[in-house]
Amino acid sequence: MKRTTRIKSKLAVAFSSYFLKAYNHFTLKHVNQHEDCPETTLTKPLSECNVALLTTAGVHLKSDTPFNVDNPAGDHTIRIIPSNTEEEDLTVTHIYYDTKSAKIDPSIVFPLKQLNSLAEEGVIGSVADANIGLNGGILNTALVEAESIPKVIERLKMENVDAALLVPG
Amino acid sequence: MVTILPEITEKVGVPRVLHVPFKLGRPCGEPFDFETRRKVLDQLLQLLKKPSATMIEYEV
Repeated sequence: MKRTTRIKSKLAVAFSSYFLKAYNHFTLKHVNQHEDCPETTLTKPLSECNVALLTTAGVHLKSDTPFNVDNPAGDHTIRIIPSNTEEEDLTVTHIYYDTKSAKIDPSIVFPLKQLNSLAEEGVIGSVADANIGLNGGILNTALVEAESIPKVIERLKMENVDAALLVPG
Repeated sequence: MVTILPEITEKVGVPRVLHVPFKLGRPCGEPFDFETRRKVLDQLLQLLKKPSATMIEYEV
């Protein structure tokens, strides 16, 4: 991470920590209003569902290329996290929230271990073989909408995912 | 979806939202608070059974 990115990150984290209302207002200004809410419902019992975890908290395998946080436009690429990934093999790369805690305990932004437990207990049918790590904080979402989202949808369909749980940073 | 900022998820039109009272960067609770971790997941999964445009508040 470049020094300028590190400074930008400290300022952004301080802003969101001490001025949460202003941060909320700022984010709202950069989000498009969607009038229609997608009409989707579960078509089978939870105990038969293949469930995927998806996060914008910048989670990825330690062995994977980190998100490029030095790019001022953000990094809209996708990271795949297999269901059998151990927590010690996960890390986070993000500049818009304090990642110290997530690096110690990734489950605070990516509860994969707990989701696997739920599958073992039969609460859900299974955890998807491919779970999704993304890097949020991207203000201009053109590339996210044109490239990232279609790829995520394609991958979730390929994995026969019935439901996706979304977790922010 | 878990949200810490429900106005944003409402504006975006997220179908099912669990509003949690946690800090930014800790949407599923504090580090090593596995009881909360489990509760968040349990409530998220129950949310899946609800119709679209549902937001529920996290129950401690």
